[in-house]
Amino acid sequence: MNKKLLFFVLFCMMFSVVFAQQTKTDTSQIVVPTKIGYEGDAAIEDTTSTLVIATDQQANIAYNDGVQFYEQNQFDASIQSFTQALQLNPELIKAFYGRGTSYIQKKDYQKAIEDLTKYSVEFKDDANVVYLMGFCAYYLKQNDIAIEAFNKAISMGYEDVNMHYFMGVMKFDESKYEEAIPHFNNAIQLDPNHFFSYNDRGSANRMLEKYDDAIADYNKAIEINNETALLYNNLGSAKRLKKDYEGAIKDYDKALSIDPEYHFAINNKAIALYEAGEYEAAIEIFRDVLKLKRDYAYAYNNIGLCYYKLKDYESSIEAFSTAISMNPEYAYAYIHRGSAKEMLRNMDGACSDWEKAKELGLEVAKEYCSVCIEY
Amino acid sequence: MKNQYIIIVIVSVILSFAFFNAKAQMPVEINKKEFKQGKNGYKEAMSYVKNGDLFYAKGHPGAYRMALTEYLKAYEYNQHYPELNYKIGACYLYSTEKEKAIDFLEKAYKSKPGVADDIYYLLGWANQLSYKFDDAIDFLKKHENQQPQDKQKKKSDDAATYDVAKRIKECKIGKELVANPIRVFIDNLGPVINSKYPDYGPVITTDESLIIFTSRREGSTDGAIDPSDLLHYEDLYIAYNNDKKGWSESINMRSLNTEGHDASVGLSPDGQILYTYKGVPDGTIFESKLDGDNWSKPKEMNKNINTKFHETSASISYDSKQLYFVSDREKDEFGNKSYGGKDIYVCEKLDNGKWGPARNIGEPINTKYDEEGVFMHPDGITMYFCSKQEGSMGGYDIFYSENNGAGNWSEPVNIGYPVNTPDDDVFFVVAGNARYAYYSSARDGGYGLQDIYRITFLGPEKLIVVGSEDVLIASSTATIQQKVEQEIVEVKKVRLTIMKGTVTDALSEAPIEASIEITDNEKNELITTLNSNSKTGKYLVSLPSGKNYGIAVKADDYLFYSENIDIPEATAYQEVTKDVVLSKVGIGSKIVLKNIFFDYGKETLRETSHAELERLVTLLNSYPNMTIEIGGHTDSHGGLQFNTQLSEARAKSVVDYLVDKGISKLRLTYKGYAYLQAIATNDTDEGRQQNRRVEFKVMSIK
Repeated sequence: MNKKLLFFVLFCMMFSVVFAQQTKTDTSQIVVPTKIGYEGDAAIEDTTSTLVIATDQQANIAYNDGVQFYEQNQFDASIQSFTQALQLNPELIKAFYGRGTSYIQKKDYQKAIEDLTKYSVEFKDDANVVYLMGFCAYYLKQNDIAIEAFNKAISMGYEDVNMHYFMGVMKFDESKYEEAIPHFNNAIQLDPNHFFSYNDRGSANRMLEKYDDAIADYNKAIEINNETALLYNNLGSAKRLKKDYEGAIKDYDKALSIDPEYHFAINNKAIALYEAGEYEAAIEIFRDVLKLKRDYAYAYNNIGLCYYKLKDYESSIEAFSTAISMNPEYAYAYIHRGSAKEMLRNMDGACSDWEKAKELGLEVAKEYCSVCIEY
Repeated sequence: MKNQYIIIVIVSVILSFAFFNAKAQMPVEINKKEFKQGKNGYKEAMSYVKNGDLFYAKGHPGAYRMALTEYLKAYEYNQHYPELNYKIGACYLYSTEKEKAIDFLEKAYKSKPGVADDIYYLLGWANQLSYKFDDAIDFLKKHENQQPQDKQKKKSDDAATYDVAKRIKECKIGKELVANPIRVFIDNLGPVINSKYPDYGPVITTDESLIIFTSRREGSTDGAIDPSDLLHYEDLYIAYNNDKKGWSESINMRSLNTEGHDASVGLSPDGQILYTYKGVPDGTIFESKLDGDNWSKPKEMNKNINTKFHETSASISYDSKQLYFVSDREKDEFGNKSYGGKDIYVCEKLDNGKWGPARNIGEPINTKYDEEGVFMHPDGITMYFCSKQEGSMGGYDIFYSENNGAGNWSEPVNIGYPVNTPDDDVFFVVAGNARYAYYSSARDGGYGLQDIYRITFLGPEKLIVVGSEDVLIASSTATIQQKVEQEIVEVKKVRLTIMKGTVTDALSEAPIEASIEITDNEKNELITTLNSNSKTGKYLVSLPSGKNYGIAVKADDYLFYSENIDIPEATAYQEVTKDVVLSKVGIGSKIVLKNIFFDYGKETLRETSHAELERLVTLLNSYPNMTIEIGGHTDSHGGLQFNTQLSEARAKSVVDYLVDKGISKLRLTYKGYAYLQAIATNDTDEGRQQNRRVEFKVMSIK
């Protein structure tokens, strides 16, 4: 299963939850009999003014059109219909909800959050909407707002596996790995088969250098889903970081048997060989990465490192130079090329490269540059 | 004359630090039946063996070399005889070319495991020298586990006298050091310096412009051969690398070399004082000074340094105040007992210019093992030396230790492999920048038995970061790069400034021999005085960071030249070239007094000015009829009126000081010039700094 497919699965999982929650919410509060709020005839029986009735009827018709379009995944049309409904009847608050969720489907989270906010002014106790607003904030990278919303939803009794999962992801993104783990734990508690949470908890453990815990988590994720290259790749990397190169290579190979074009696994397999000291074999595999991704600067850098270890400094400089041409901001490649030049006693060249790395913000390069004056 | 007093201390120092009086007395019992080369084969072979045995029994490196020559002739007749292979191996181990020993010893052992009582020990040693540390440890342990009575038999053997447990430790350390080599280039200085004979004992100026070393090449004084080892007597050689474009051809220092052994053991950082070693009468250090391009006749150093014991290497501190040297004396002049074998001692220079009583520098540098080859770096902090102490990977290793300023030395640190080897590594000298060092080694690929090499220290391995990324979050396509520990590995930096240049006459541009006084302005103390070379006018001073230096260059009939160099503590190594031009004392001649300091915005003289003012007093006393003007100058900050008042007040402060010191008022005038005679731009800090000055101008000399 490739990454896009995996993402799609997650997205569907989440929205199936959204719809289910919405059905529950509509039934209890907005008196909408179906899905996200189809407006039935009963809703217009209490109107008194003919003009108002006519306008409200038109608004309700537009609203119902919006719902239908939504159900048909025609989100541009649903947005248009909900907008029309609101123009006809600005007090038809549920149309904000309909349009907001349509915007979510369009990934226009800013507009979604605006509509959901208007909806929530009237329906303050709708925990589902609070959750959706948190979801939008998450995608807008407004982590503080997202976490506040999720926590509010939880305090309102709302429970959702994805909400806990995203809270974990946000902590992970902020490099707060210790704090991420309890959220993944909560997600797993709600859904013991949530392999995303196992994977991500494994990744948090990996970043905390708790490689055994990471390996256990990745293995659990694979136990649930053994058709995902990413999971095997991550398992391999955890083993590689634990210096179990043989085990790592086996896992990378499994990842590649699922997705032969998963270039991360190819690159990582070569790194495992490099770290095991098999530089020549590693070079061959790095070249395989380049067959898939011709401009992959990392692979050129890594080939350069292999040649460096083999003391073939000319070839290493050539590879580092190619990496730099692919990514002129690749500060480490400058450091490496400088080191190779140093070994060839080209100190002017070495110092020039270290200077460039320093300019690119590598603190460590300052120390290297400091001795250049002595050559 | 190649006299009988020349004992082979130098030889033993240089060539055979690992000589332990091994005297395996076992005869080579060659079986006649095994000789197939004609009737006379056995007889001839036995003749060589007997000759060899005679030398072998003498038990010193030269004798082992001669024994080896004989044994190798016998070897031509029978290459499989265990006892002969054993003795050839032993000869190699106890003399030079130690790396050749292992093949012979292994051959002997394989064909006859009990070939000799100490075969395990020698195999252990030979394996150690071949970097086969695990095998070495196995053999050494076997030796240890031999029956006590066997060990008893070898009381006089190296195997008994050398600490086998220590050698096992060396092997363990060797494994560690070899697994974690330091990053260096080790370059042979090439045939302009090295010969096919042993070349060793390099000493250098701190800027690497000059090297002096010892060689046993052809062309030595009288061309005589030392009968003890069949090599030419040691002579001193010199070569130059003035423009850093490569070494000149090395030249025999005829004026210093004698018929006996003459070895280089130390050189002052500026290359003006050379310390040499002679085996006579008891291992003695000599001093020779450079005057123009002539080295003075080597003079035996005083009795505080030379004793009836052996004194070998020497190194003078950057400020010429201490002399560090090596001696195997029993105790120092303060009653401190030797730690064992050779120790490092220090003498302080007395007010009368002579070296005072020697003091053992103590632990942790000196140990019960031998210490040798002392070299005090001109940074004033770091001492390099070689030692067989704990932490060595075999024989002498090079260590360094740092002085904390209060006289305490840090725990010595092994400088590491591949500079150090399981064999002896000695006489290590380091350039001012500490990036380069010189030593002699018998490593493969040289021109002779021992060559001089230049080491370039590359520092720790630079950061290596593999390009690795993973998608760690399952719900995201974002990749995360492998965490990189950007550990900043500090490259060891020398905090030292080398100031060098030439001193010349302002008019004729002729070189001048001038005295150069270096003062610590903060402490108002004279640090040292040295001279520029009388022929070239060249000088070199070492200025460790962390001081405000006042430098005064003085010569008879000249106005002195004054320079101020403030070198903050954190200043890394730098070389500053400062050519000094001296003006003869004459009407109108003037100097800038760069070491006169005032409180900010005031005319109050700071104490740090006193050394400079005292020089002025001395000059005026030398020329009692000289009248002078003291001129005050400012930068352009502030108005003219303020600066005129300030500069005049400051000039007056100087005059007041001079009057206070007894100089007649009648000889002194002063004037404030404000910023009207700027000598540099007022647009930069540096320019303004130059403009803020006090000048001294000669108005008349009757």
